[in-house]
Amino acid sequence: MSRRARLLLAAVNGAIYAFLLAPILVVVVVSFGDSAFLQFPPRRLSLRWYTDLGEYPDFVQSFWLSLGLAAATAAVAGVVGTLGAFALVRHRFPGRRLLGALVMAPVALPGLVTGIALLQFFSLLRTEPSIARLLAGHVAVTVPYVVRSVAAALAGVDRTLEDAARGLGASPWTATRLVTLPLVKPGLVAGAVFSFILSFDNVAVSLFLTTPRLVPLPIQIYNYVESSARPIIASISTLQVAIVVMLLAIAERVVGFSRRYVGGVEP
Amino acid sequence: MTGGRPRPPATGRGAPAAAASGGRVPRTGRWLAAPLAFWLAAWFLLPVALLLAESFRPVVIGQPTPPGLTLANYARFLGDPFYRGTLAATLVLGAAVTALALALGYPVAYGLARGRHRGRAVLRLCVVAPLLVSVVIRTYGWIVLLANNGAVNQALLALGLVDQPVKFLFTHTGVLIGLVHFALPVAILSLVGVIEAVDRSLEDAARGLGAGAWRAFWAVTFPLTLPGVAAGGMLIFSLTVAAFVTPALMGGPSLIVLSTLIYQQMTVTLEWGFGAAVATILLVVATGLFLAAQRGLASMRGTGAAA
Amino acid sequence: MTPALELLGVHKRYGTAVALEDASLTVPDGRLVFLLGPSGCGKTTTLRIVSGFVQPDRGEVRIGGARVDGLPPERRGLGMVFQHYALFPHLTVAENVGFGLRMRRVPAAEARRRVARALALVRLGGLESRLPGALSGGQQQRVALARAIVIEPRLLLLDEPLSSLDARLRAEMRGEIRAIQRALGIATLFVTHDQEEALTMADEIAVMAGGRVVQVGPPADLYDRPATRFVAEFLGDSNLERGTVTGPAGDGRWRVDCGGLALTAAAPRTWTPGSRVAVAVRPERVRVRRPGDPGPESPANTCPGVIEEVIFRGALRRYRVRLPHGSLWSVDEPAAGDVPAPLGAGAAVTLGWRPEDCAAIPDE
Repeated sequence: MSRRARLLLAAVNGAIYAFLLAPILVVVVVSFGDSAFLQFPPRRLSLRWYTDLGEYPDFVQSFWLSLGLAAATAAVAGVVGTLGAFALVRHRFPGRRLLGALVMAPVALPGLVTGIALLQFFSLLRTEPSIARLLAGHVAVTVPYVVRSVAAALAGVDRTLEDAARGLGASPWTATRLVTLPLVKPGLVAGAVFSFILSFDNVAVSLFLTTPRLVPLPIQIYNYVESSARPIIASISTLQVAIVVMLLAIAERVVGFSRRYVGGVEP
Repeated sequence: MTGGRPRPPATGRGAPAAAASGGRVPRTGRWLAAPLAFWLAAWFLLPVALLLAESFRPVVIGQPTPPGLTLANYARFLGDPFYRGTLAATLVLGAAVTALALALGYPVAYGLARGRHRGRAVLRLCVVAPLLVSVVIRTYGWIVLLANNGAVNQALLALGLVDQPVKFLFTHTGVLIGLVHFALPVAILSLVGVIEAVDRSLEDAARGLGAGAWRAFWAVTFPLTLPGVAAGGMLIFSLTVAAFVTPALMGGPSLIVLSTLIYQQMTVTLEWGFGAAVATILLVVATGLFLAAQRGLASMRGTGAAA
Repeated sequence: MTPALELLGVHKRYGTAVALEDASLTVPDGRLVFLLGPSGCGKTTTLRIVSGFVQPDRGEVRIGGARVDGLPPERRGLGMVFQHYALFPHLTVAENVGFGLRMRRVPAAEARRRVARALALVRLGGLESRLPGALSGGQQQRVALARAIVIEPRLLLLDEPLSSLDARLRAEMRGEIRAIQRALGIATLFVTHDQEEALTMADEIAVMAGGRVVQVGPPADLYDRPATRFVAEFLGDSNLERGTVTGPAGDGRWRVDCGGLALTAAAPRTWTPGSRVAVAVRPERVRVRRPGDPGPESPANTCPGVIEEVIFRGALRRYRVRLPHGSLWSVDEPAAGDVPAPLGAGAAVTLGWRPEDCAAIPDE
């Protein structure tokens, strides 16, 4: 390819990358602005929108609610998904094929539809609105990713390893615990982290399961943006993004670069 | 304990067909699968099935759950020009977003697929990053950028391209921009896979036969990626028609698409039967395309698109 | 002394496919027994039954005299080396080797000592903290071996352990495994499809085909006196003739007519005239008589022939000789210095061989 064409391609690509990152960068920058009105680029920098967060108890509550909810979702989805992945990959049981196909169904459906279905379902059950509803919905839509991630890791683990462990005196559970689970850990961590992020960011499902007292952060942000685009939104949003970034960094540290073994399990 | 039952070959490496090491305690599988099966059945399958059922329930003012089955909700939707118009608007918007996302995404995907390795990881991260940020936050960022006094208008005014700020918010253009941004990472990631699946040596062969780099690309690589592009396009389309936040926040109350219509029906007007019918229509369109896209992309990976 | 392993009349089928039919096998204490057979003969199933991963439909499995039928693999006290080693990729060499000791709750200090000893025995001392991924194939194989022997099992099971190695390493490891087995005196069951491996290493070979144990015995026995056509053809090369017993020749010998070729075979059993037999003669047991050579002893078998092809094989020369009744025989002659000048294609020769080198086998 000629030099000019290559430069053109690079420029186009650069513009598209800028397009991709623009809104996120804007939000972060605005959060450090000083004016009470929305201003981009901001004239002066300040941390007031962070320190002022204390005066927005609804944001603060939403933040902690979402954080806890996402953690719970990741934990539950992690356990349920891992057990399911083991069942699908390593065991036989009636309905295995069906479950395998069904597991990905929540991914194929629009989140909106799932949210509505759950709203209707819960009101049919006439239960009290609670965080359990949100947890049920969030786990349902994120567990497919855990299953996929763990199953992929598990399929890459040589089955004879467990046989070898058993031959050396390990019970089936010990063999799984000491040999298979460590090798599956990257898949599990990746799946759980993904589940956390999807829950933390979720709008479509949460939209229908919120109540005036239980408002996850993305919904709270949505409400605020709907009324007016004030800078306080930017700071809480930036915090949201920061949490996600931190989590990814921690996950990367925990899982590592296959440092433990060469040719091990694909994460 | 006899082992008379035949055991099919095991998945995963290392197990001879004669005896799988899993399933020795034959019932373990069902217990391990039970939580997952239960969770999906109870908090997904059942609710969705009920939603489908609800769509056939007549809507009677004052009576929350009238009995009987009817196609009236669907008839109402498809019979009313306003609703048909909403469906059409949604599909047209979806098509426009898909076309733009594919067009913009292709060069980026090509760069990632065929580029040299240094810095590739960072670029890939830049593509994935928007997906990790909640869609409300991304939309908020666009609102800031596209406001009448936002950075985009400021730049346009400063460059003298316009005399007055362009109204982006609450217009189709604004929503289009927001949705393209939403769809672009997905487009890029799926196209990278498609392009990578095309054997590099085919382009080399073309060049060896005298074609320039550009020509080799258009004549050889590009056509081979088209089935994958189509599949990726279906995926993007299915995601876009179901998008809610961007049209809701950037389009305002007057710009109605299928998803905002459903939201209204379910939470404001509370016409659940009707809302369920519209949701079902959305489900059929979006999920149908999603599954078709999956199949298309999977078979692309399988054949490798290489001759 | 009680044998380390006994399989008595083991049957196993998967649906309609019979994997094992009335399989019986004994591994005496301290001996190296080979389970030899082609793919699909049932040797892998046998191994998995012995190790406890598969339950037989019928039959007994005894280890050290005690029935182990209901025991799960982790309680059978066996040492296993798998075909692809199955080393735990996330554990170091020392942790791998010490895994079995850990399961037996051996105190750390003693475990360390035993691991070091086992590694020294397989000549891998000093690699304790490496990960399996950083080892070569041969080294991995030794680690797998060390892991199996460190627990001092009463029986060692080796599942085609050398098949992943290249030819040279394979030859080297054969000697090492044999030496280690002798040094430790552990009863060992070695499963393989490689007949050369079996012939060079085994104290005893059990040949399997079609789910059955077809013949058991020391390598020389199986080689010189195969019980079936399958064994004759699987172990080494044979010239095989099919014919009918015409009558006894006294002294445990029998006259056989193989489509025009009359020969005398030795067989330690009684045949009725008219029985169909196969006669196997090893290429190296046939002597090529050139014109002018002194005649053979009288009970010898002779047959004229014409050389069609000469194949040079380094230590041997192999002649492909066409016999009058139509068969093509392989005859091996050492290519040593004191042998007369080699013959070429087209030369007329007389072949001679003893009845003792002629094994008569019932023809199925």
